[in-house]
Amino acid sequence: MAGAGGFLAGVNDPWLKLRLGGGGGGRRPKPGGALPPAELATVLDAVRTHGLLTERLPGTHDPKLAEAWRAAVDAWVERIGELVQSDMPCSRWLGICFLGLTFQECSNERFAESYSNWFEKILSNLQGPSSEQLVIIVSCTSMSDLFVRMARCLNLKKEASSFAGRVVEPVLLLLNGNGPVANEAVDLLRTVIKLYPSSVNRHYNKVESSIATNVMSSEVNVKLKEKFVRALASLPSVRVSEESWSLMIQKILIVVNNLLNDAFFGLEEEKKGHEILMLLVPPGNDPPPLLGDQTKWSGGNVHVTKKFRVYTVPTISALIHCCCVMLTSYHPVQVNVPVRALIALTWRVLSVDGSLHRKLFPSTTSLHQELICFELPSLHSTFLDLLSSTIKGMRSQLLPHAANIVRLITKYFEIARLPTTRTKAYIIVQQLLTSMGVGISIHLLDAIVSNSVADLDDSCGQDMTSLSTKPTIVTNESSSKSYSKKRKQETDAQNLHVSGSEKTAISPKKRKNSSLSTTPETTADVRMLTPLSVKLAALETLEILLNVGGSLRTDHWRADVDLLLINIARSACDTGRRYEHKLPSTVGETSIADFQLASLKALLASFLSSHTRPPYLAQGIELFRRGKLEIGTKLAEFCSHALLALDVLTHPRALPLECVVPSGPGLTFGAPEKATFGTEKYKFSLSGNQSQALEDDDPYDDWLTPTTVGEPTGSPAKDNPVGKERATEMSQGERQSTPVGEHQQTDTAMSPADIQDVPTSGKSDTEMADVATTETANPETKDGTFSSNAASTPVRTVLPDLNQQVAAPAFEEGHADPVDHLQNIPSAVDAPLTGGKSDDSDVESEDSMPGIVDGDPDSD
Amino acid sequence: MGGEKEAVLAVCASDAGGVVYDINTGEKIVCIQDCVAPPHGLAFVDGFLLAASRTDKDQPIFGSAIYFWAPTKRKVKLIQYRQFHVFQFYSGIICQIKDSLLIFIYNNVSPQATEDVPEDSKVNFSMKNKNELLLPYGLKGIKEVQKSYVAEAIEPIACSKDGVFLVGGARSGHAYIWEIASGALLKRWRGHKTAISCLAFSQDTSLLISGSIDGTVCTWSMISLFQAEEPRPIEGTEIYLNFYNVKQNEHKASITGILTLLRSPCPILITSSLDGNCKVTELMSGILVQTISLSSSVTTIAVDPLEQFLLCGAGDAGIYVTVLNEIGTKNSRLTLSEDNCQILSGHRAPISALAFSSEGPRLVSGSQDRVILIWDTRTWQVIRKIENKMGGHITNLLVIPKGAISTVHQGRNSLAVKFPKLDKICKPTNETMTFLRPSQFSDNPVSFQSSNLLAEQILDLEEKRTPEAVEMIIAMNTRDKVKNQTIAKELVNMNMLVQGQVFDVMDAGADED
Repeated sequence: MAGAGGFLAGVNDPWLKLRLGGGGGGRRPKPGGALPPAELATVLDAVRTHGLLTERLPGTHDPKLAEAWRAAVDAWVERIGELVQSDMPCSRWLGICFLGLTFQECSNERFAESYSNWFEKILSNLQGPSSEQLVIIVSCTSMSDLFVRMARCLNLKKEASSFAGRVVEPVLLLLNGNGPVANEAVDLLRTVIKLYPSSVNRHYNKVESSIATNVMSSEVNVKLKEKFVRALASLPSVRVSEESWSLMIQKILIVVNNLLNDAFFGLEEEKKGHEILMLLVPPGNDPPPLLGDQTKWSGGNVHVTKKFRVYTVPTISALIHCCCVMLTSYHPVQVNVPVRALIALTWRVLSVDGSLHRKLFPSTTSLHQELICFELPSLHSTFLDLLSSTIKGMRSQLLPHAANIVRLITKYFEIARLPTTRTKAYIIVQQLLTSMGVGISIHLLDAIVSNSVADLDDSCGQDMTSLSTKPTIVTNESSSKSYSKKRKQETDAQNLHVSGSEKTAISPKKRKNSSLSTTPETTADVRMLTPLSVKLAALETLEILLNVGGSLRTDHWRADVDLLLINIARSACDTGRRYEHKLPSTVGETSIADFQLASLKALLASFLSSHTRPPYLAQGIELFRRGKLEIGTKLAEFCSHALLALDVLTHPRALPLECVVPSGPGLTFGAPEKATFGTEKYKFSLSGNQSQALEDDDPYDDWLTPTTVGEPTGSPAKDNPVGKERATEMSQGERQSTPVGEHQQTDTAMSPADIQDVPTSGKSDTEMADVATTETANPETKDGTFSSNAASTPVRTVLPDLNQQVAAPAFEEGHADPVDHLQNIPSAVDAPLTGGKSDDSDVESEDSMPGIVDGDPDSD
Repeated sequence: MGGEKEAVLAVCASDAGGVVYDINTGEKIVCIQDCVAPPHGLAFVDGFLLAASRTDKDQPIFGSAIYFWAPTKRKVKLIQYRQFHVFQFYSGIICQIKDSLLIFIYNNVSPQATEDVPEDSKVNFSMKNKNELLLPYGLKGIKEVQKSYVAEAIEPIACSKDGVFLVGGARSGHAYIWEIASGALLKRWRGHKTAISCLAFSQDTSLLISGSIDGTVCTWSMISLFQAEEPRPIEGTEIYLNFYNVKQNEHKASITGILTLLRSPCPILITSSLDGNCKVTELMSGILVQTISLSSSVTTIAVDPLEQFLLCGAGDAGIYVTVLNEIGTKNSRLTLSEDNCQILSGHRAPISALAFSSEGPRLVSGSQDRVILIWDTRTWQVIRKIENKMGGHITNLLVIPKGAISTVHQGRNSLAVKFPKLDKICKPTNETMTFLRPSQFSDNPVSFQSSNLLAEQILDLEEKRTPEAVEMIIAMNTRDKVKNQTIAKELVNMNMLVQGQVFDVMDAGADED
């Protein structure tokens, strides 16, 4: 333990604090002495880092130290007191600043001692008529901090309330000034409203009118307006009653509705505004008093065009933003939300697309229309926010109105072309899906799939569209595609020049890559068709749709979407890697990294929500593995999560049930011979070793075999969960089940052979080109095998006979000597070019085996 | 363990009413007078309300009613503690009472009979004077607080998981849906041709499943339900597909149970019927995944919280247990018979209700001979047997948190609790009563600002960024300038003085010369 004069024990020695505080005496601000700002920053930093004012002694109590420390802080407080009362603005500023710091740091006892003294000091500075702006600003902040600190002392509640009451009036005076003073003043007002709402009650009307005037003023800047909006939104909590909140939102919506009447004159039906007013103020009820002081902000004699841009639209935005805040923040009592009016108002704005209404009004000028079309995106965006807040605030209580919203948003997608509005529309769809679950996904499915596919498609080209048109016969499609690919391979192998007619048949990725070698710019152009932010939103929407309603009418859309997602994820990851230096993320836009992350997230959702075995699992896992290596990025973090989640798919496991049903003797069970549980495999008995019983079961079969059809009657693999032997057994099983597939081609359930076919086609789409065009030094054995296999596997599905002929020898080989393939690998790079299909088809089957995916061939 | 703090509520079909038992000890905690409900006619709403519809007291004039039950407060009484006999000594602040009797101690009286007092009858009391206590007395209980008359007798009811909607089904086949917070009747529609026997919401409240006594099961999308004008089921409008009739797996007799599971790829619907079948279907597609055929009728079903087991209570007094997590795998069979099931037998009469505790360690089963068994699900042994002496056969079993019966709700706000009257007729409303409390995580608490502001302003001053900073600097500089000017003046004065003296000296020197 260090003494008062000796060396310190270390950085945690409390004496250090004292010495800093005491030694800092030299640096302690003195009245009159103008300290350079840099020096002040050191003092501030020292106080905060070392907790010089806390007077909290860790560990053992040392009276000497405590006494010394107290004296030091006493001196500090005294010095600050002098500073605050100094006649120099600089000293006052400094004093008040450090006083605020003291509130934050000092001990409870010290605070309780002198809070009222401090309050008076700050208040006098706050009211001081001739004070410098900076002094007023810091006074507001310090005052706010004083209230925050007082709120933590429960016994000071009464005093704090009375203090708060005294502060309100001076603050209202400050609000009318613009700039930073009003900024800090409104912060102080918000603190008071939030912490001591009852003290504002007396001044309620004055406060409301003052804030409302500022909100609707055209002179207040945007940032400050935002603060006023928040203050206005928190105002209803001053009067804790059911009506205050409803009254406020009613007033706001009436003002907005009236403003819209002017704005949309001639662009919509005349009665719309009136209808909404009827919803807000039912016939027979008195309209509420007007919001704020309406005379001040009527726009004066500004020219009508300027008024619209400078006054009408910003006011609407601010007021609607206020509604959003009100809807999404806590209110202590139950409130009446005018849902119908909110939705009707949103309908009203979002259905205006700038075109003239049928009945042309003589007063409508083309200038007016121009003005509105100019401002329409911002209005739409504002009201989309309102819709989003309504969804957030109402949660499942919105269900009775959900049909309306679904119609609205589906319709809105047709006119939403700009990136901002389209992104917001997607976000609303996401919120609807999250809050209303599978029920709403029934209604939104078509809209989401068609819109997001359209948005995401441009980077993936024509091949996609040919797939999406006839999704039900996807296997045939893919097979025909692979046919063309097979031809392609051969032509590629011979010469890399692709003729124009064939160009349409190749996958977009491939095309992109092949064109890359000559003109890299074209890729960038394609990518720019739909902004990245919209694509990102579309991806996120698809992800949520898959999570929520992934099993819904799967035959209509899942095949397309799964394929789309794997293609996007692959192209996103490739592009990211290759072009990061060439295409730095566009300024203020979504970066490619976000897009990559979103594409991988959607891909994971597609895998996990899949009803059958996910067709592109192997390719996806490869992507996740690669992503995992990007250490330190969000992508890597997510990829490791994804691999964890997918582990259940790749290495299926039958977890033992948590509860075991024993058939003990003393129990009240009926017939003891019925103590078998479920199927015969799960034996639950007191004596039976359960884990043993579960090991006997081959969990892999559970996964590969569909529920209703094609149950292979063959013997399941036994007791050898590792290595290739099982893979070969599986290929046996595959062979057995192939005839079943023949008879049930129309069935949606896929036999294992089918399941493995699809990935190969998807994989080969892209990977083929990689091998062909980009010179990879490292022989990507896996890619090679995949693409080569693509040629053979589709044949199986379409022409089963051929399949038998082609596939059977391959499997035989695999069965006989699995090690061979590992030896084959070095030559596998050439395989796609030479079309050595029979050699590698079984390697492919291994690759999609769970036990082998993380095996050596592709681990590097 | 959440299970420790839970209680079982058993409700009978006739007479006496409900009883709340401790799920672990089997002790009776409190009786609820007159709380009677038909099967599926009991719901636990939002942690504080019990709504039971009853049909035994139909009054034709008023239609029927839905009853609301809520815990009531104890009264507070000023007690002079000398009056009371003393049994037991506890700590100074907590003392125990039983049946209004204060158990308290003087220091000089030795403790007498130690009785087992239920844990939750410990109460807080406050000292008023030296010899007086303010003490809550009287048994806390659950009392009928309100009844809402509805158009016709409602038998099954169900409540959405978030406590927003209450749905009721009538004998006529009509279904009613209310918003609980406001009591507004949102929709009345004809759900089935025959009486509705069972209702359930999906886990996310977006779907409603109803079953009738003729064995039909309908899935309704809540969204299109509210939208359709006609008060009858619409078998697919042009816009929305809202009605799935699960035909291919129709039951032959009355539906006795509906369960939904939130399975990851696709949600699962389980229905049971008196025809002895229990059908497991995919909720969205209606594809039949498994049928469990028992020789006797299935009277009730339950799934444990981990969704591992499906329990079917049967008419032959057995509880048949099957494993759920094999469904969809190779091992699952399309049909199971009772030979594939484990049987829990302990009852002697048809099973009428099953319930799991919230974390699954306890299973409660009730039968028509008024016997309630509490099972330990780890060993599947009966750990308690309760004979419910009063009333008829048990129709409903609910596991509720103990807190719900011992703490009186002060409402969710400072205002008085409101038990909304459920509307009798459907009327459109412009407004929706709701609680706005979404921003518990997003809302920033007010915090200290000074130090940040100071740091910012120091930078401002250094770089002269804002007009205010410039103003301050000017103020500082002005002061410096004034100071410098005074110094300069002094210097000038001193200079003059020195100069004068120098001149004087020089003059003197010249004079000497």
